[in-house]
This record gives sequence, C-alpha cells and structure tokens, in this order.
Amino acid sequence: MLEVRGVTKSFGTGGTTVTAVDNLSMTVHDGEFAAIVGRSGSGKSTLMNLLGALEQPTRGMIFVDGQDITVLGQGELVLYRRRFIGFVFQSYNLIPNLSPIENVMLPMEFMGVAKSERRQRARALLDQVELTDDKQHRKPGKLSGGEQQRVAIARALANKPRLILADEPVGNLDTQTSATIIELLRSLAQSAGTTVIAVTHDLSLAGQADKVFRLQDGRLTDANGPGPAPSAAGADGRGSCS
Amino acid sequence: MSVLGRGVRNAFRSPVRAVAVIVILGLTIGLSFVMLIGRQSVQDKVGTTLASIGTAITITPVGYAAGSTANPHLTSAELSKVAQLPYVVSVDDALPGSLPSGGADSALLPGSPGAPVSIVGTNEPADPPNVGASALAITSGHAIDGTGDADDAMVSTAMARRNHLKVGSTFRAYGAVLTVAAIFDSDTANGNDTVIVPLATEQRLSGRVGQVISAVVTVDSLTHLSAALEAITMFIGPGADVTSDIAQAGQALAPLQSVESLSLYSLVGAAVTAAVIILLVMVMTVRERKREVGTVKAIGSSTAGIVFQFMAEALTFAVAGGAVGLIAGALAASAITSSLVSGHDGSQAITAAVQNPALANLSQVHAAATASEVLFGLAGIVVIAGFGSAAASYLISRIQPAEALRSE
Repeated sequence: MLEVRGVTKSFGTGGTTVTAVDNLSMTVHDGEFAAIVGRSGSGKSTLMNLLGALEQPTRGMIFVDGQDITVLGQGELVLYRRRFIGFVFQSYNLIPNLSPIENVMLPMEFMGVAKSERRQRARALLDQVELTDDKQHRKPGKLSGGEQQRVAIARALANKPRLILADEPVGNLDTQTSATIIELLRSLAQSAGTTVIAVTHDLSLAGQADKVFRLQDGRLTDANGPGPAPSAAGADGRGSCS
Repeated sequence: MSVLGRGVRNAFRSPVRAVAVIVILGLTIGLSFVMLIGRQSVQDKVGTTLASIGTAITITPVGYAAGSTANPHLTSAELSKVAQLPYVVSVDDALPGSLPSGGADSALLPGSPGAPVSIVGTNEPADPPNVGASALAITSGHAIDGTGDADDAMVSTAMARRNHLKVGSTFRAYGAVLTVAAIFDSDTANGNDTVIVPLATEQRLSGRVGQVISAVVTVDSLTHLSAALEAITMFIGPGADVTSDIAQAGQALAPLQSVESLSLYSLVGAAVTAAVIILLVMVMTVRERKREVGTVKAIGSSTAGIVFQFMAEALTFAVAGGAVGLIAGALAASAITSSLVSGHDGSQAITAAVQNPALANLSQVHAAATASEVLFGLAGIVVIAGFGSAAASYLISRIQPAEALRSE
C-alpha cells in the first residue's frame, strides 16, 4: 500500500518560494490503477517524482508497505527505486544507443540479474508488450512513438516492481496508440498485481482508472472511483483522499 | 552489457565526434610521446658523453710552459694532502723533464736527430696521460714502482729498438745508470719518445726534490666532480690552475640540455592539453546527457555506476587517442628530435668536439621508443583519462534525478 501524508514540496527560485505540492495526502492500495489528473503546473510530475524517490519532500511522509521513504539515505533510495519502482516517461527516455532488448535488460543489470536470465526475461517482456522480434534489436530512434513507449513499459516491468509510475504515458501518442498503451498498462497491472499510478491529462486514460486524483495548484481537490474525473475542483484544495 | 561495455559504446555514439576527439587527442599524446622519447634520448646522450669524459681533474702551476727553466711548481707534500680531500680516489703526480741526446750523461738516441729525449717521473707509471697518450701497454718486463726511488726506467719499443735496449739493459741519464725494467707501446709518437721513471728518481736525478709539475686527480664519481674541483681549487689556492673536462663539456652540452628542458616543458604542456581536452569533452558529454543520467538513476543505477560508465568512456577516448599518438609519436620521434637537436647545436659543440673527442657527434642523437617509455606513456594516458573524467564524475554526483529529468 502507498500512503502519502501531508507532503509538501517547495522550490526556491530567485528569492521566491514556489510550492509545487502543498500538504497533500492520498492512499493507493496494492494492485490499483490510479490516475492523477490536473492542468500543467498543477504539481502532477512533482508528485510523481516524490513517489518515485527522485526528489525529497520539504515536509511530510510517504509510506510504501509501511516504510517511510522520506527518511531513507541515498544508497537506500537507489535500492528502493531499483526494487520497488518502474518508471514510464512521456518522452519514453530510452537510452538511444541501446536496442530495445538492451534497454529492458538495463534495470535487471543494476539488480544483479545474470546476463542469460536478463536476456530471456527482456525478450519475454518485449513479447508481452507485442514488440516484434525484428524490432527488438533496432535502435529506439527507428521505432514509432507507440513502439518506444511499449519498450519503456517493458523496461518499467523488468524488475517486477510493486509500483509503476507513469508520467503522461500517452502524452506524445495518437488516440489509437494511446488506447493500446492504456490497455496494456491496465492489463499488466491486473495480471501482475502491480500498482500503477499514471499522471495524465488524457480523459480516456483517467476513465479507465480504478481511482482518479485531481490536482490543482499542488493541492488534491478530489478523488473518485472508476470513470472520468469531474471537471469541478474541490473547494478548499486540501484533504486526505483514498 | 557491462558498465565498461556501455562506456566504450557511448564513446562511439557519435562516430564523427569520436574520430575528431581521438585525432586531436592522438596529436597531443603523440607530441607528448615524442617529447618523452626525445628527452630520454638527449638525457642518454648527455649521460654517455659525461661518462666518457671521465672523472679526472688536472692541476698545473699557473704560468707553466713546457721547456722553461724557471717554471713554478707544485710540491709532493701539498699533493699528498690533496689525496686526502673528499671524493678523491688517487692523485697521479708527474714531473716531466728532458734528457740531452748523446753526450756522456745521456746516451739515448731520440726519435729525430738533435731533439731531446723526454723523461717523466711519476708515481703512476702505467698511466697513459703521463706521456701524453690515451693508451699505454707494457709489451715486456714489469711496470716500475712509481712510489719507489729505484734507478729503473720504462722505454718504448721504438726507443728500445733504436738504442738496442731490452729488459735488463742499462743506459745513462743525468749521469746515472738506469736499468730498463719494462718496454711499452703508447698510442702517440710523443709517448713513444718518453722515458718513464719513478717520481722520486726523477726528482733526485734532476735536482728538483719535492717538486711536481702536474697532477691528475681521479674523483670517485661524476656526481662528485664539481664538489671535488671546488675543494681542490680552494686548497691549492691561486698558484695553480685546477681544471676538468667537465667545464668544457658543460659548454658543449648546453645546447643539448636546453633541448632537454624544452622537451620537458613540451611534454608537460602536451599532456596537460590532452587532459584538458578529455575534461572538456566529458563535461560537454555529461551536460548533453543530463536527462539520460536522470533516467538511468530513476531506473535503479547508482551514482558510482554512472561515474564508472563515464570514466570508461573517457578511458576509451584516451586509449584510442593514445594508440594513435604512440604510433605517430614513435614514427616521428627520431626526425623531430634530430631537428630539435640540430637546431640548438650551433658551433659550441663543434668547437668543443675538436678539443675533446669525447664531445664529438653531440648532434647525433638517436631517438627510439623503448618499452619503459611506452609503459610510461600508457600510464600517462590512464592518468590523463582519470583526470579528464574527474570533473564529469563530480558533475554526475551532483545531478539529482528529478532535476535531470526536468532538463531538456
């Protein structure tokens, strides 16, 4: 279970302080497919970075299976990201001079998995995201956006993470490809029992989520069950949603 | 793929840039290598030359002129004290003189009619410089005891033949009868026209008891030559000239030593340039790949792992550039070193060479890479790569994953 308690993240820029995430609390249960929606600058990506331990909150606590990750040291944070988290980025962020299969093998190398096992598992994951065999050895630049995002999803699944954090996973894709990717994420979450949290402004993605969190100016304004989030934001912008 | 493998592969991610970096590095490392080889070759040449000059110091009275009857002189007593000075191994005293040819007192026939027969008294009879030669070999009999006072003599083969002498024969000199104890051959005509007797014998027979005209002091090593020269000069005082070939050599070797210094500065300059090139390339690379660094950190890499990867990339550039540089440097070293040496040679070496055969061919420096120089060069490349990637490592360690992912 993922539990966020009163998390605030502020940045100092040129003498002024900007609060990207403001006293936010939320809970996501194991195996849920949650969506975080909001306009640009609402703090979605910052929240994702906090959940993924890519940066530390100014205040508050984030519990993953009962462990507060905000108190972990740098070495422990590396292990946390390696073992518990799978990232999917809007711009795919594949390593350009590595083939898809090598990209998927990379997190497993960091985990210390044997090379033969890495290759075998990477191939299985790429098959699972339906990337054809001939494309598994091409450079990412020679794949379409949808294909690259499939590779990114396969890479995110490489170490069998407990939590997949997807930041605008369909932001650069056309409608049809987006639908495929969303379905892929959802089915993978269901089949592996993996928790998926996706930041999106795409209503079709949010519509398929088990839970939708709405962010505005760094504050959580609403949380809903399945279906598109309501357009109206909550009144005070604060609160604990689960 | 291992960290090392990714580092090597990343180095060639942009082939054009990789080739450009390797060529530039190759040129600078090549220049470093040429300077390393050149410097070592010049050092070897200087060392060999100095070694061949020897460790001798000559002492002669000021104003001494051969043949003069009113010559100033040194004394055996003061020279025996010179022998006690630091670093002095031996002191070869010599008292030259001349015997009139023919007559009742001296009956030896000289090499040319009417010329006097040279005689030298010395405590080191087998030492060639006493007869103005560089080699002296005894062909029959036994060398006389130079420290004794016997009326024994050593004559050359030519003089023995001319005067019908053999070991055990006698002849007259200074009115005394001297016995031929040994017959020798030297490598000069003057040497072969000189009779060698013990120092005390010459002093007694010529009426110059205690006098010495020249002394050759041998020092224990080339390193101590200057110190010994200074000590002897201070002890003897202004009444004698104390000289060494090292002074002449210093003048002749000055151009070579300036090439040695130039090579050292160029070596350091080129090596630093190579390190700066790698440093800047790696700094640019890290900045360009900031987002990628963030991604790799996000998917579980440690900072150390990324640092090793960039170090492997820097090492790849250094090794590839080093290979180009070592090959090019080894090929060009001889020509460049010869050019440098001949450009600095001038007339000093030639003048010196005329005076001292040991200083001949100073401009002929053979530059070739040795195994130790190649190993030194490779070690330098690794150091350059390490230095060059240090800044990259520092930058990486400071990159926060989220910040890197936000960058464009």
